[in-house]
Amino acid sequence: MNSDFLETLKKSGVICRSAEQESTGCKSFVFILPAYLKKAATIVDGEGYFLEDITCCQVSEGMELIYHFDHYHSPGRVSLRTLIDADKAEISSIASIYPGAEWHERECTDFFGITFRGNPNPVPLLLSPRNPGPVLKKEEEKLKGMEDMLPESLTVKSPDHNSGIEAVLAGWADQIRKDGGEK
Amino acid sequence: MSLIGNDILAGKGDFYSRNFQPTPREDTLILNMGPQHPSTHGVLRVMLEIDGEYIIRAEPVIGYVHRMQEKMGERLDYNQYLPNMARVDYLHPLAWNWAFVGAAEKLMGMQVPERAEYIRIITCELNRISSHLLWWGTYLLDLGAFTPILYAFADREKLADILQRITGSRLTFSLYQIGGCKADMDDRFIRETKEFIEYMRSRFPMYKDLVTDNLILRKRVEGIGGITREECRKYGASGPVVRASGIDYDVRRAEPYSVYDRFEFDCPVYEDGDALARYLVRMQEMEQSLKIIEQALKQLPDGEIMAPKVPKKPKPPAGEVYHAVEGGRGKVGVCLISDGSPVPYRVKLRSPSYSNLSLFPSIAGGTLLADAISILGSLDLIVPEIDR
Repeated sequence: MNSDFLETLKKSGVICRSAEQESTGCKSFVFILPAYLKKAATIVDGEGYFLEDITCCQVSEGMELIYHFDHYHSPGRVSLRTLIDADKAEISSIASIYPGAEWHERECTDFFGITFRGNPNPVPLLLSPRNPGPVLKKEEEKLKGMEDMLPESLTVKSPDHNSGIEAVLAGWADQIRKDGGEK
Repeated sequence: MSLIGNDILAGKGDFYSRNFQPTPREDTLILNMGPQHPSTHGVLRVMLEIDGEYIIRAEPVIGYVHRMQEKMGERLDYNQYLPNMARVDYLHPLAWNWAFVGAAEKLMGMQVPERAEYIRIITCELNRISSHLLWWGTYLLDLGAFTPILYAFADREKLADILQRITGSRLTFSLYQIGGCKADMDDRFIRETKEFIEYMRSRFPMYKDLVTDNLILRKRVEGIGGITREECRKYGASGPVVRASGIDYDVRRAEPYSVYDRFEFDCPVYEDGDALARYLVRMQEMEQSLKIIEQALKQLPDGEIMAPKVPKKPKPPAGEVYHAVEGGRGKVGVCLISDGSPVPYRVKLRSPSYSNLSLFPSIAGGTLLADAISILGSLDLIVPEIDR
């Protein structure tokens, strides 16, 4: 399932999954290729979501970046995820869309050594400038697969049954699929 | 001596000063407020570029009490990690305690007995009042009023006595366990809580006359530190900060957990977005917490306080959950990723003070230095929670 999932993601660019908020805490999981991150953040921003946090989890496939968004008026957490190479951990910053992302990104740099291109102030935040390095990076033998740790209840719904952000993101995913996927 | 030490001696400032200093203007001054400033409550440092009394730009420097709580989460098993939560936010530890056990319970698909839910709500709300009281006392201390903190501590003393009976501690409470609560409420706890509700209600009118309606306070908070809705959204603010900016958002309502839906209570919302609005939101929240506690005591069911067959060393199945609760400062979130072993694979702690402080630079520009003190105080910052 593991390689299948990543293959599908590579082909389509975006995979949207609905989840049960009660058991997972998130309403939708959106997996994207790193190249689509800024576009996805712009869409989420356009729908009026606020940035809850940005975090990372090192898995055997690389660094899984997790962006949590929620809405003040129609609550339902969106978990936006992308996977980057652990050795060449680089991705665009979304601080130009959500200025609050600056601190969260700097925290990820401190803990995981990820470079956020375009972060306006990329200096250590929580750790000292003389810090011993990315402290939350795991040893190779301790790494687990990304998909093994995802909630079991993730389901695919047809875009017609979705509403709000899910419909918008699903529509966007369809568009990318039509345009030929991989960038 | 290290290179950094030499630079400081040579008057070049430390790493953060050097990073902050470059400025196009020559007539401005760089000022470090903190990390040892009384109004930064603990060890928060804010670098300011000032033109006379006015702030041009500001940048908080944090991490002085960083303890790598997330790393500890990957080393300790679920029960061993519980006391850590009380040390993340020492003023509202039960909210963090709840966020973590709530996440673990979600992961394990565990139902908490009804009585335990009521105990959690009663103690968490009592704790919210004690947190707001300390904020109230220290905020006024920052603004130059010494007396209120003595009143606040007199009230907090009663709360500490009540909570000590059930939690065993007076500050870093840790009462909730995966599957329920460690201890039950006894008759004395219930009696003293009821007495406290009456007592606290008799104090509010005095606080209003003495402080809230005081002209000197009004001059320090009215129209100061306005935060717009858009700023709240872009920086991910939550809690009293957003409710003072006209956003009706409270996790107890938006993401209902426990049995909060059984109680009638208001979430005070103000439109102004200034320090006064944040002050008023917190003052009214204390009254609403009393209302919740009163209803919970009336409805209190009998029964067990722990779910049956909770393993001593929990081993949740592989998976991922996010659980959020409404803390004294806003949305407290815990994201748990488990690989099926007795130790979490990844623990992410989402702290409300962190996001609330991150919007400070965007509102500090153009304000008076003295007002920055008022703004920082009105955000109700807890530094260990920011640094984690």
